Amino acid sequence: MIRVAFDGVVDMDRHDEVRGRLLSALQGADELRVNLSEVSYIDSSGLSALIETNQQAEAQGARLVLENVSEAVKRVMVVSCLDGLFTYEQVEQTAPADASIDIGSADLELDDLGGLDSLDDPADSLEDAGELDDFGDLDDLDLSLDDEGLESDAESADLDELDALPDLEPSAEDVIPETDAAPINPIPDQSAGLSDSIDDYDDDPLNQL
Amino acid sequence: MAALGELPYSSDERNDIQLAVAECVQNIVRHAYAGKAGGPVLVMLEQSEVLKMRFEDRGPVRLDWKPSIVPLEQNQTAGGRGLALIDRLTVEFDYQPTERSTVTTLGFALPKETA
Repeated sequence: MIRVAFDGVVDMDRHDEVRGRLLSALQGADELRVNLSEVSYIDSSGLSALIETNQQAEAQGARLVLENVSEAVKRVMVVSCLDGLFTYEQVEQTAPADASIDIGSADLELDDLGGLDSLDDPADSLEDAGELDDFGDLDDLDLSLDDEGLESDAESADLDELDALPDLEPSAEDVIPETDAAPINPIPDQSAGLSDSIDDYDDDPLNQL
Repeated sequence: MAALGELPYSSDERNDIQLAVAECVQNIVRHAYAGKAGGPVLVMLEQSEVLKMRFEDRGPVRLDWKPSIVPLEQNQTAGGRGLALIDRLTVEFDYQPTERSTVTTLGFALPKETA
């Protein structure tokens, strides 16, 4: 199962990107789940990418599921008579791994952070902190600090063992939120062209309306 | 006339107008200006028994072309829904090529409180 997510405006400007991501994610998949909870606007171009993906999914015997479709998208689906075409599911939203945490605008005083103001020498504090057992699997790494700074116990932290670590390449199953949300206004900016053209249109009877 | 933002449209009605206008402008950019930004589009508003929006472009005039609209319920293809969406969301949809420009008119029902 592969899951992808989109956000912001899904219109003509993003058609190629969205279509490409969808069809690429669908390759070899038996199920593609597309989260649309953060899509604020979709037009016929965006719908086109979803429809093409659905057709491709059917052709390869895969399943396309639209998850948590936003109200804005639902409305366009209904108007477009596409509400019966797709499979929809409402699933529990989980925070993306790299989601930022909004801590609000409160000003934090150092004193509020509990003792940090007493750290005259960071090295001392690390020695005091000592135990890393709280980090579970990392407790083999007996980190200690000496005058030369942080170093690990060579016997317990063999770097060669790192080869056995799982591949940390992000998988396609990760929900990867887009952070470069497109502007909300989906209408292409015609202001430059409009201002240029208005002078030309002064004599146009239509302009007298 | 009242500014568009002052007309008491519901949220859904505003979204419908936004979608129809966006589809119309995208159509102009795609077909009149071959997908290139910067082409002039003159937008005119008129409030009478309906809210009319006219979009005049200066792309190549196709005097013999008329919009071909496949009803949304019958469209089995991935594309070709832009014009049908405009048609669905408007009470008037007219495409009028003239000698030197093309005027596309969209008409929207006024909010009930205004009509």
